[in-house]
Amino acid sequence: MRSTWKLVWPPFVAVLFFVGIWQLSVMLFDIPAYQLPSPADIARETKNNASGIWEHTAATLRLTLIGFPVGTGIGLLTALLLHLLPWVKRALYPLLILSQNVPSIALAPLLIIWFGFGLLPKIILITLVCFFPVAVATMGGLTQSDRVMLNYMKMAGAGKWQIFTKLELPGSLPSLFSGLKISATYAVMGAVVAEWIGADKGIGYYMLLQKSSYRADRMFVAIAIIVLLSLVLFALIALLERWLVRWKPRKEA
Amino acid sequence: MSELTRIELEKADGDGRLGTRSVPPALEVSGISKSFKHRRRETQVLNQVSLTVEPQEFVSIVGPSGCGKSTLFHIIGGLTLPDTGTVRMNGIPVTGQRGKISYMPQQPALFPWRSTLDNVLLGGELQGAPQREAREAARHWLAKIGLGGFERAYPHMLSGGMQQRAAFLRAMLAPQELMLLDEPFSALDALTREQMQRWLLELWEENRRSVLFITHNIEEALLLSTRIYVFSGRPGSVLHTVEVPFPRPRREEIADSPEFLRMRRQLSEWMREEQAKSQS
Repeated sequence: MRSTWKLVWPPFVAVLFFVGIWQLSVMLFDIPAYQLPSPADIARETKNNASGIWEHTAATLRLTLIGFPVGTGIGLLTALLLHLLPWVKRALYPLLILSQNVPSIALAPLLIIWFGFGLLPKIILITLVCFFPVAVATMGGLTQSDRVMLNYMKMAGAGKWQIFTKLELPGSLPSLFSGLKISATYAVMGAVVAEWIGADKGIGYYMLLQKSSYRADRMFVAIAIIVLLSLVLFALIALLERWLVRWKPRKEA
Repeated sequence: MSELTRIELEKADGDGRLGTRSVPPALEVSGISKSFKHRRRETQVLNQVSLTVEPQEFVSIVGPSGCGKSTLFHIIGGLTLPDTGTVRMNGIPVTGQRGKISYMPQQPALFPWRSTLDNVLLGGELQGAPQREAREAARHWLAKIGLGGFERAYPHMLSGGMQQRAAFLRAMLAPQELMLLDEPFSALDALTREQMQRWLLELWEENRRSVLFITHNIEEALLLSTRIYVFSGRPGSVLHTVEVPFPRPRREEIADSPEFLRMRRQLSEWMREEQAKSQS
């Protein structure tokens, strides 16, 4: 518990310090609120509009919570399949890398044309940004199993499937989780971008509304919520990792 | 060749075991040669290696580094195919077959995500052996080797010596009769190493298995083995076969006996010569 506290307080103090400077400079230099609202303004705005903002937040959260498991699930499946079928991997892996040169977000308008304004194109967009980090990290983890353990398994007469389930799969968990953490932050971003393109609720939609009325303070509310959502999702993944990869000696930070 | 070895064995066997002519050897390696090609250059690693491990016998291989000992283990374990020669176990040819031996590598190579108990059970698990009685036996053994209370600990929580003991137990509890131990103590500090040698000697004499043991350490080989094969430098071949006459159960004190010292001197001399040859 004490060590957790030790990890938490320096960034906490840093954020507090930063917010303090922000508040002070807005007050001292008399910056108009439509350019840069002060943290106090933003907090007040959030409080006054809590119910409306919560509705939008819930919509984005829902979208993220559908898109993230689907996207990372597809990423994980891709990694497992390609690993078990080395021939397919040789054929498709370069294509997979190449596909990442296409900016997924630029595909959003195209997805709307193809799939309309429903849930499907949004899920596809989130999947596009989420699956790659998980797929690449997991594939890396699967191929990097310890040589000595692999030799041991082979000498002991382990079959390919036993090697996969008892050595490669558990060994790849730490890599899988570093992929998942990256995807967690991408997922919220993907959801917001999907809402920019076509939605009638959600934080992305809210941002578009506020942009047209020059409400910088509400824009900051939206950004704060996006940050918060990403953080929460990231923290959940980190907790899950802590529990599933509890066998790994923890390094002191 | 193997016939000769067995007759020699009957003569030299000091601890009153029966002659083993009727029972085929636990391991019989005959005429193994192996070369590797690397960038069009062929290096011969093993040259006509033949050796025998009788049932319930502790046999060591000592040799300079790079004498192909690890390659030999890979061949016996079925990971690599020899260019010539055969591997037989209990009289049956098993060249290139995996899963016939139980192996203890140089590093403990315990699986970090398994508890100590699950680690030592791995060998049986891979062979599909029933796990319930095995768990009981494993618990009993863990307590016996000083790892009682560590059943649920993950490997990184154990000291180096404890990890090696767990790795040894994993090999010992595996259903295969023959154990291959590949320099199991080389990564330990001198003090722990001595402890582990005593520990292994005691454990093995109580619970005899057929063992083929690779080591650089001559004293270790003399203390533990019934027979020692001295390997030449690359390409590895059997230079000398030494029968170790000390009766069992052995005590550490035999290391002070004149016979032990004489043998140690002889073996060291051979090893030095080989090391010098391979360096020149």
